[in-house]
Amino acid sequence: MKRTKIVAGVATVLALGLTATACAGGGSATTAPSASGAGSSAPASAAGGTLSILSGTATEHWDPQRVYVGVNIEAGNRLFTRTLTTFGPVAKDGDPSTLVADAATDTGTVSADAKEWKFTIKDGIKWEDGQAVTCEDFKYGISRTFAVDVITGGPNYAIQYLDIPKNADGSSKYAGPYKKTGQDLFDKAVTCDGNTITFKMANPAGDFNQALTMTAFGAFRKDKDQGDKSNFAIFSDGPYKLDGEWTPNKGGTFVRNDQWDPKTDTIRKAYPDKITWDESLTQETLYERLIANQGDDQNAITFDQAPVTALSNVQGGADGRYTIVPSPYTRYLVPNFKSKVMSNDKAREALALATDRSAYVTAAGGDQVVKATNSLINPALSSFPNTPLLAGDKGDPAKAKEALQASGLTLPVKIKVTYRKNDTLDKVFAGLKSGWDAAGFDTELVGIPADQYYGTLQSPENATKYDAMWAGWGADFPSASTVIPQLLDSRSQISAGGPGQDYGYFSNKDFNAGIDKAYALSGADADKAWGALDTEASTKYFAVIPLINDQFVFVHGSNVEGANVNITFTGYYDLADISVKH
Amino acid sequence: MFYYILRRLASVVVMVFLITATTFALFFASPIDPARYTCGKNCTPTILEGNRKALGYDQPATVQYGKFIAGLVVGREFPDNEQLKKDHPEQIVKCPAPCLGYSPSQHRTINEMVSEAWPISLSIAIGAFILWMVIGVGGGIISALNKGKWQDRSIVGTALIGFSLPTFFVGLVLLTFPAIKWGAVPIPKYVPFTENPALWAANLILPWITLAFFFAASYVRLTRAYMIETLSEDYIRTANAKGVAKWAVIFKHGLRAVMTPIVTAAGLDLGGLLGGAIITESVFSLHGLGYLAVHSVTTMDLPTIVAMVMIVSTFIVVANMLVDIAYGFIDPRVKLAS
Repeated sequence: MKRTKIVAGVATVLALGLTATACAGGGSATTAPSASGAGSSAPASAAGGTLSILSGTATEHWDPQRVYVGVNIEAGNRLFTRTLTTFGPVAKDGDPSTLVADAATDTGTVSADAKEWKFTIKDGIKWEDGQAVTCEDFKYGISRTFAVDVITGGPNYAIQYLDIPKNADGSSKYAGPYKKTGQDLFDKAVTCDGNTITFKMANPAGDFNQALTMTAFGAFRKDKDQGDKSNFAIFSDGPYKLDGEWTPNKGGTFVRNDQWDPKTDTIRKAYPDKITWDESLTQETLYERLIANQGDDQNAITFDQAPVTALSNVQGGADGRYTIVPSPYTRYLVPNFKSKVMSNDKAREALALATDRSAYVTAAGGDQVVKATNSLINPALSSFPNTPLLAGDKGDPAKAKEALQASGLTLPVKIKVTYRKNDTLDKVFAGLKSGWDAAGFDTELVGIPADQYYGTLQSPENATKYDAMWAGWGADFPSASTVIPQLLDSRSQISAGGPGQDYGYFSNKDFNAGIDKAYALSGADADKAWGALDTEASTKYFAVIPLINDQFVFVHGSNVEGANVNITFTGYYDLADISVKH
Repeated sequence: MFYYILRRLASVVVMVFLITATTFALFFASPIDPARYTCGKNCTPTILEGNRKALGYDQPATVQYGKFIAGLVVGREFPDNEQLKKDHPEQIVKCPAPCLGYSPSQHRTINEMVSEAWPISLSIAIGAFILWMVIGVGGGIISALNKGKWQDRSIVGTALIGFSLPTFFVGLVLLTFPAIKWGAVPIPKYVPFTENPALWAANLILPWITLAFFFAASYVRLTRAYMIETLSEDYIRTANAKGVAKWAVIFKHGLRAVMTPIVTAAGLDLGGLLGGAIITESVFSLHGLGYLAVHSVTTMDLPTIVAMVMIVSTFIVVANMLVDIAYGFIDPRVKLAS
């Protein structure tokens, strides 16, 4: 997450920021080629024109195996990197989306033990130079994730899921296609038989077909691979291709890929003839421009969210052109099981009972942009358990005090709580401290600069330093398997190198066994299992204290149509069926 | 003169060496782990280690610094991985001398980044410099010649406002109203001078005004103060008494004496500005050297940080040297060699 704060002038004061990340969602649509090449049965007026994307955020990667933030998953998947499965566009903001086949003929066939997945790649999908996209291209693309010293920054789900042995330090015995160490292991885990690709899982993985929606599981052609030099070298198998080169911090222009056949693609309508991406802007400039809605900016969207401080400006200046949707994130508190106080069950319960989420909501901008929660899993996911708040949104200091007294600790109980320091969280934690102190805690707050925050939490040297820690997380694709195990599975997270994302060193055999069971399930059964684990974590073990879900505010130009936020897929405007009036 | 310049150039090299070494030392003393910036969201200790290795931060700082210096002299290849160079030469980026390094956040050589950014910073700096010198020195002269009159008070008052208003404020006001709301000028976007000089100027006029408004203020005050002092000197009275034309007294006798402090200030200001007008570039989204410097710090991009420190310090040190040389021409009494 990144935030910028700006002060401005006489008549205009805008303070803007942004956030970025990933997640994943569905419906599908039928398409037919339009006169301008758009794969759509939509009115002819929808096809054509130029969509302008204004951005204040520098793209880190376009290399499909390195893309990990929601904006780039959205653009990558919708414009130039087709994946075996994806999530379809939505008819309106906030609608749920379902998993659909993309480059594969269906959403996959899974074995009874959920340890083997098969997909057949559609005929007729071509790279921008006219060569067919093959099973080997997908296999090669996925292999690149294992080259962790070259292809950095991307998701590591391939390493986690595939049946390839690991070294003692947790690294894969396969070192990627450049070194080829352990190539035979990879070749056993991923096999191609004609157009059919088969994946062998290390453990049951009922949601593997959802993981494949990430571009990290997209195809990559071996003869186009230049390692780090490929970072911005887009080679398309989708409806658009890069016109010329991508310039970091400036952007580029996408034009139609004439090798893309809409008959092979039921997801992407590809309405605009051209998409310009200008990332040389600042957030304050782009929001001024979007609110002013002049000239070409009427055809513009942005993936940068207006922060709560700019909400009134947006509501006043962009009426009918803005939307507020749930962000993919959950902000939560992690009691530290390595601390003397928080290793006590009753003390953790007391902390949870005394947590005043209403103070968080008020300090962070009000209930229009922040919602209290007691679930780690985001409401956008079908597994969201909607765990009831233990003591309402204000907490119950009296009840908490009873629990704390029952803990056997001497009141007041000193605790050190840390959070990522910024103006908003300073206010938030001042409010939370009041609730905790009223329950018998003596809270010391420690704000850590954003640059150092997660590094501090993940350092083994700080394992016992804090009693509780603030954190934030969003699902990488709409499965709770990218939430619960990533935050609470001690086996995959805790090592000699630190706690991973299990910042509180929560380690429970029963809970871990529950994770294994949930992995093996799919569909509604998996949702139920993950949801139950989430509820257990926050109400039985008090391993986490979920706090809030924040909301994203987006603005678009007046000529833009179909600008719907797909909260299941990425949490951003869906480019699959967006169009401009012209 | 020749030996003087040679000596000064040698001191520039030593200074740049010391500054870059200090930057390296500070970077590695920082509690921030740069490898985390390229590690992605789901960052495990193993993945973090892979990133550290990919960035070359697994090597001792002294080794990294040695490679940086060697790159300046003989060039470098990235990544510094012998096996990869042998097996996959297509992945290797060649960076000829003087190689400033390879940016892990932008995935290209810093030389490429700097070659894109410096024309932007140069365009901003030169235009703003001309504007503020004309307005500042001209305003100062008019003010001095009309000391105590309404012209003086107006100019000094405006200068005070210009000096008081921060550049980000002036920049945002100019951007919001003339550019975005009224559409009177283009929203600044860099167009190379060689491509279209008119568009180049039209797109840079707001950044120029923003900077000139701030810098001209101090030059008005500086010129006014020195001019008033000079005009009261005996030799000026003598020149007036001898019937020398008024313009000649002002420009040939008065202004020449005032030039030394003005050139000193102008040289240092221009040198600093050539290294990037950080706030102005940020407000107008112009990606010059200032933006590059800010971006490199926010992404903990060591090679770019070091290169930017080196470039900016070189500009300032060289500007200082040029100012000293200029003294010799402005004031014949100054002997540089001594």
